[in-house]
Amino acid sequence: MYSPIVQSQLMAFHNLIRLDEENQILREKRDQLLERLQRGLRRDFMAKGKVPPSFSTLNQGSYAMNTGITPADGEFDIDVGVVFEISRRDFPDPVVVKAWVRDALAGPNTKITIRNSCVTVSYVKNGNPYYHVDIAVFCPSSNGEQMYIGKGRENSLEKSRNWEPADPKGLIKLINGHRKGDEAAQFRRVIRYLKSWRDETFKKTGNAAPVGIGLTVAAYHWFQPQTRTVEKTQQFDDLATLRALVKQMLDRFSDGFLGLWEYRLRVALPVAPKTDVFARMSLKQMKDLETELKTLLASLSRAGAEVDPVAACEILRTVFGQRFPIPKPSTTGKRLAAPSVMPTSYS
Amino acid sequence: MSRILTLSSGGRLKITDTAWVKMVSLRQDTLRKKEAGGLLLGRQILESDDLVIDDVSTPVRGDTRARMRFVRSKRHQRFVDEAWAKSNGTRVYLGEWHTHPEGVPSPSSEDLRSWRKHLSDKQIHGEALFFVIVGVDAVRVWEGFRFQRSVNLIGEVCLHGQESD
Repeated sequence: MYSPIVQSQLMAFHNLIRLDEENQILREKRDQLLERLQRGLRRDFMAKGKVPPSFSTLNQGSYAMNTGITPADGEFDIDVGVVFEISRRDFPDPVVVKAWVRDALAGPNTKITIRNSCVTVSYVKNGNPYYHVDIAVFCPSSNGEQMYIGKGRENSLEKSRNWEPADPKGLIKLINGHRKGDEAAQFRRVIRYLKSWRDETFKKTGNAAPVGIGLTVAAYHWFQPQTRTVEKTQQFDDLATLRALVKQMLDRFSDGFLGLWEYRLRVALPVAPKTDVFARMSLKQMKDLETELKTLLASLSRAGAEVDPVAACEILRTVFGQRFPIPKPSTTGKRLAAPSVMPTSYS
Repeated sequence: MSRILTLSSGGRLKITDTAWVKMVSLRQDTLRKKEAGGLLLGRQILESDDLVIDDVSTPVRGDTRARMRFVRSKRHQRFVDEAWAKSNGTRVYLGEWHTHPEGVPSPSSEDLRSWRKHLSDKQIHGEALFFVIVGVDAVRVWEGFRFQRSVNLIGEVCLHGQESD
């Protein structure tokens, strides 16, 4: 049942966790990194008597899609795309290009890993993870109309090192243009709730967490806004909306043939290359994801059935973590101007 | 175990574990146990028709307690005053409860007389009042209507594991 009090606690929580588009720290860190990349490339290429490649940048990920949350544990992650002005023909192996990025950024307190879809640069402060940057490496087609993302790791076989067609700008445009007005705002809130559930849940179990873009794309496909009319005004019911989305995700786990019969949740990227955003999750990780989604659904149902909004918020705190605000009971009741005066009672 | 009953308004009434355990632990399940009772305290939830009974008072010195009779003294007033003061006026008197030495309890004529008196008492504030009788096998809850001075059975919770309304 809809509770205006629970809804306002969810909205307050959302304001607490939302990563502001104008976040100064992130912007500074990203700009510093891009400067270091430029300096490092110049240094490395000049040393070999070569001209350093020029690149442009793409704002990527949750930052660009306005779906980011501030991390509960303090480790920020930043996504950035780097588009090298090179030809795929000259550099058929994207891992070579990714290694340029890795070498250019090497430095103290920095750990750099070439991953399948990006180069991850992690910074440590006083021995603790501070923040990390995922750099996706792109190159354009010769006519500039198509973009390719560099896939593959250093130990990948040749057939797994590819420039894959990608449409990073198209995805951002789709997500940013999805729904209008208040519905678009609820769409973003629901994505952020899912991400905070993900952070809270998978931190506890230590299992591999579903990628944020996967949750975002799932919401893109299956989000259906739910509203309630209270005293002739329309109110958005975030709890019911999130619950319905989680239900949809669970309903879409299915057996599918992909070389082998596999029971998975398939979430297709709505732009090129239209691949499954969860394709890299193992079957074990898929099973964990399903189990956790079932637990989430049960908790959301229990919170929705609660009469006492304080108890409902206590349940939601177990889902979303310590940052979820629980109202004081005295703020949830109607006020009486004076206490009742009792007669004696006979029975 | 949560106890949620549906009200005539379409709203819901929840009795929390704290309130429940205090009442049920005093049920007259042996021949020697005397009647017990007290007040119901709780919140009318803002922007809704829902109510939560989250505490009850239990017998104090001054109450009359017998096998078949309980007279709640006015000393219970301090529970109402304290709850009201500590909660910024939001935890309020919501009704009465007492025990009966019978399986599935029904109100006696004395009970009904007393309930009606409460319903018309202008010194008792609030729209809704509830009356709970804790039997040996079941607890029953009545919703009181202040204007009509009538009561309506809204729920019965079995004390042997099963719940029903």
